[in-house]
Amino acid sequence: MSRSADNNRTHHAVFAGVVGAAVLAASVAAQQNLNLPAREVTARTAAAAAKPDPLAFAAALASERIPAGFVIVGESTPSYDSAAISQYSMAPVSLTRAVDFFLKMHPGFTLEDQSAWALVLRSKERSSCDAPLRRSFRAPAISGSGLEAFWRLALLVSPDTIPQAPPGIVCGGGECSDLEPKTGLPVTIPPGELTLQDGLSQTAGQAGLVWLLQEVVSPQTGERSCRFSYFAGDSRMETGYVLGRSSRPR
Amino acid sequence: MSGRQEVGRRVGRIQITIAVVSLAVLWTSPVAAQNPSAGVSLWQDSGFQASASSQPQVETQSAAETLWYCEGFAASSEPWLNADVHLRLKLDSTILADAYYSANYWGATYTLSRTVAAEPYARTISCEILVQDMNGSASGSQSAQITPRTPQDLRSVPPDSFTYRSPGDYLRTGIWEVWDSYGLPWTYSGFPVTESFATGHNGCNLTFGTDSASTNSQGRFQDRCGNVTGNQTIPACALPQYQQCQTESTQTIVVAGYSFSHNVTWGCFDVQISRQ
Repeated sequence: MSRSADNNRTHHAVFAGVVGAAVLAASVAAQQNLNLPAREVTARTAAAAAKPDPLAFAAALASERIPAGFVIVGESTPSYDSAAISQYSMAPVSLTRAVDFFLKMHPGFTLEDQSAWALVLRSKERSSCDAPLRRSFRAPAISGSGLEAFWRLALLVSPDTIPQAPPGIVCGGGECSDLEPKTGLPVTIPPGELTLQDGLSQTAGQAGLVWLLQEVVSPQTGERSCRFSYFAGDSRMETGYVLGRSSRPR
Repeated sequence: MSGRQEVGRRVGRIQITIAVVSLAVLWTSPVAAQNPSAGVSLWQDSGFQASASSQPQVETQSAAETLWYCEGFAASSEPWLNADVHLRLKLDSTILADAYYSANYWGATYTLSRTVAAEPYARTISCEILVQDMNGSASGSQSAQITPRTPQDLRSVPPDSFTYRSPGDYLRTGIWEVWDSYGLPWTYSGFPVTESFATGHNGCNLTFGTDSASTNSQGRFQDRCGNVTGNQTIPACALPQYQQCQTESTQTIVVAGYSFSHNVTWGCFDVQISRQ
């Protein structure tokens, strides 16, 4: 489904495309069918979809282990209170409805349907994240934690800027407990041709994470850079990986 | 807001005196009441000779405590009448102090005062007066904003501790204390503390898991940086070629909406934090 078609079709129709893609991928690749549209989310997550900050929804999905990806243009500060999720007792709603709500509240976003592994919500605005995200490359077999898979994919796309050392996680505050869930569940990606978006979503789908590409602008130089981070459970994980740059003004 | 209340806002101590004089003139010459003075204006509006005014006056006692005065003036509408006066000092919707008294035709003043401590949120203090006699009523109010106590500084409370087990397996534990815009410890509990990291040179290939907390009753919170739980080393530190690696980051801690940034340098053997 093309991006231009989004304006002419209902969000439900878009979501139906996701269902079809998911079923097709499951039958062809014999991989897990996440059946995302059939999932339910808490009313709290649905409410997060309405918040002005799109990252609130990303964090909410992560807290429910619903694999997703977000491409966002511009600075954003999550206002999401993850601690309140468990206290939220209202009736759940379908993920389809929550995404529909998100798209209505954020008309600058569109739902991509290429991935069977994860929901991908992206800004319609062009950004320095577009090129790396669509870049196709031949990937070796990748296995390891979600963090390791993300790192290997980033290395394939941007070998000059991504650290060569194996990735690690440190905690920046709080109790420093439960580090392991922050890396995500084990991931296996077979060797073959894939785009970065496919790789990220496969990783998110298997590891139960939400990936985020965010274009930010340097106030000093005006340079735009595409930065990668992800949400794991109730935590936001800052990798510091820069996957693309552009000096072209927005 | 009624015109009468607007008048009340403009009437200060000196103006009140003028109003009294105007009323004295009125006794012999009603035409003089047309003078555009506050007291006269109020009187015309209600057909009531009482003047109601109030104005909080401030006297600083300490950095975070303030003595507020609420002074009201009232006069009855007729020489043979006494007016009932209700003067009150309010903090938001809470009445801090109030008084009932009588005022004759020549007027009376009354003053209330209370010490009010600043809080971490803005509050409004107001002085209100209501004057009534058989001819009618008048009222006035004046309000002011109490500057909130807001976080302005983070100070490390010693002793910081550093637990080291092996390269890349360490935990630095620090306690931050919040100081406020009054230059005092900001001792409020339950306020949210969040953090974020911006990564610079990332030689150790570190990903930062951020966390959230709340201030305790001393306005303090714990900040634990590292990787010690479960003996999980930083993977790069297990390799000899990376044991001298360093990762530079900027840690931004947000306390109750106010942010503080530090430069943090991570290595296999230590983590250094410095104020930005």
